[in-house]
Amino acid sequence: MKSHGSALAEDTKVLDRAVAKRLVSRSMVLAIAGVALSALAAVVDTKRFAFSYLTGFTWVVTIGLGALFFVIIQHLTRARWSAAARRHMEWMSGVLPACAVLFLPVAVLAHDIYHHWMGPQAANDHLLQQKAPYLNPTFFYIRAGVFLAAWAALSLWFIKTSRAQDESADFRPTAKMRAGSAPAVIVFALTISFASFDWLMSIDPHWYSTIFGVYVFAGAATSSLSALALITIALHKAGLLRKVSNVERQHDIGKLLFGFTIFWAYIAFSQFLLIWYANIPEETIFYRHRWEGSWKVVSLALLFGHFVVPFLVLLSRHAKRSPLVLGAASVLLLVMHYVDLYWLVMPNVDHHGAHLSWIDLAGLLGPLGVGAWVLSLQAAKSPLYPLNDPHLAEAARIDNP
Amino acid sequence: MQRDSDPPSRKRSGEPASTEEAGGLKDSDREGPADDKPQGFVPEDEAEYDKPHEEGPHGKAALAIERKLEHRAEEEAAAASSPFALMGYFTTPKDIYHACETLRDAGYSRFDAHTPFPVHGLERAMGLKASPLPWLVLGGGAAGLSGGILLAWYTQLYDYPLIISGKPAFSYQAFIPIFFELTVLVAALTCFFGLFALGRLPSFFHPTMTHPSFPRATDDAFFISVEVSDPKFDATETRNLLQRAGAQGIREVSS
Repeated sequence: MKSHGSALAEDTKVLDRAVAKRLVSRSMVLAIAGVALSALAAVVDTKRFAFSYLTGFTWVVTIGLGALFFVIIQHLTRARWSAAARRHMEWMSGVLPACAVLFLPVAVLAHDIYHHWMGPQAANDHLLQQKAPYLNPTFFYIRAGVFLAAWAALSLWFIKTSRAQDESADFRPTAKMRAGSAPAVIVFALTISFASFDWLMSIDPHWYSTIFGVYVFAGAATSSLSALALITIALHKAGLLRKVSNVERQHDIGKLLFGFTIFWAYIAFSQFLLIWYANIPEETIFYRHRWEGSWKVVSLALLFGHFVVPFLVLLSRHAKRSPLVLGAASVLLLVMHYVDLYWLVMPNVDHHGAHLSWIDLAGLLGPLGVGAWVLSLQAAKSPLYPLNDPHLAEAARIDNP
Repeated sequence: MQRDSDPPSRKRSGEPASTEEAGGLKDSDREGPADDKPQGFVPEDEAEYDKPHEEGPHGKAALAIERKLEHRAEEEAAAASSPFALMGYFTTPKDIYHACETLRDAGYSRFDAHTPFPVHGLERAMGLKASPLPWLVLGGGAAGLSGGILLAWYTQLYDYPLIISGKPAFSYQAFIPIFFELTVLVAALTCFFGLFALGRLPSFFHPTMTHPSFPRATDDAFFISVEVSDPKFDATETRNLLQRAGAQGIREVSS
């Protein structure tokens, strides 16, 4: 390594072959079990499974999208601290091509999920007739194809270019990714917004919120940073990364996670305040549904679990530097991201109160298992940090005084 | 003690260090003929006018004696004020970093570093304790939040309940932006003024400024000042320690 000498000799370049094999085989078992459980649930209760699966699928896809956003933004800002973190986020964004396959059940069951506007009763609904040029099945499938293809292409391109640098010790891939990141971020912003409108907001086609795409994005950024924190902590604990990723980098990830926790609350509250203040029936009904019966408990759990508790916990510098505290906050935020999506999707099935079912778990485990499998495949075959990143030495040196 | 010190008249002149070092400590006694003419307001009435010295019987000799007395008084005042710190400077960040480590390891606690730019890790080399400022800011934020809640509750529910757009009298939802803003405002103000208080600002004079080379602390010199009040301070030992660490221009400054 000409560029950084022996400064990073303490860092392991690739996962040990036996460890990688164990990781892949275990996650493959999880994937097979999850998919089998999903298939069983689909047979038992197709309608509920459609919604449960949509929740699980969007959980995985938003984590992948948050990771893709992180990769893009690091190149866009020419960040130097995040060399190792960027590689871990590249792994995570690797689930996006798999999401094109994971979307198939949603595509098949779309008429169950979006029955309000895909079903025959839409013909008698004046409002839906007005929205029909956008909300019609053909255009829906075309858009979904475009979103999934764009995400798969972006994530594969960034992974491929970054991996090319591992072999060539060349600056050109970095320059290429920086140039590509500007158009990529525009594509990303548009696709994630419209995908949220299509897949989550249109379940209740009379309701609308213009900030909805940003809300989903805030959850995506928070959950992917939580997953990154867990990967970073795991690699530190295993003693694989010591220099290029250390407690200072963990602290930086904690700071970003803290910031996006506040961002999520800010966006969630912005959406709530406008709807609450205006008090227009067709808008307020969204919160009305989510304040009925046990949904009220879920709403409050979201307020405290997704904002108040992580905010107070991550406020302290010592918490962000402690693997235990940051890890616990990350697990909480990942769970809360699922609760958030559950809170968006499931009130359309369970009116007047939440009813947990094993089918919900099946709908989560299928996409989760496949996502974990793809992630461990990425981790197994790719170096643990970008071996020839031009800023490795700085990433190892910068600290938080 | 004062062997390296300049006479006070020169001390505050802030002359460039190079002259001071090369030319030694020669005091250019102010014997020039320039300022022996009366200045300022001169009354028109001759009777009230105290004759200028050069025309009087004593002439320039009297003026010289007056100046000497002034000079002596200044020197006595300087000797009477207690020394504040022993100062010295280095020319590279590396040197001051190691000097700070040496002082820290020798058990000094009341010393400061003055550098032209932030030297990373210096606070660790100096063995500084963590600042209490974050706790002050947390308290300020909590005070702002509770103040905001109190304000909204008092004005909207207790003092003058008003129904606005059919919502309950104390609709906290509408006031969350105010709670947030007040939390941030009071936390930020606490941070700003807390920093002033912790740094004992504003301060218009500091003894370290009397070191003749101190202007270089904003340019190319890295100063260390070891305060006399440090329990470990010993005039000769501390001086030797600084000398061994490679400090230049070591001298005592007084308040």
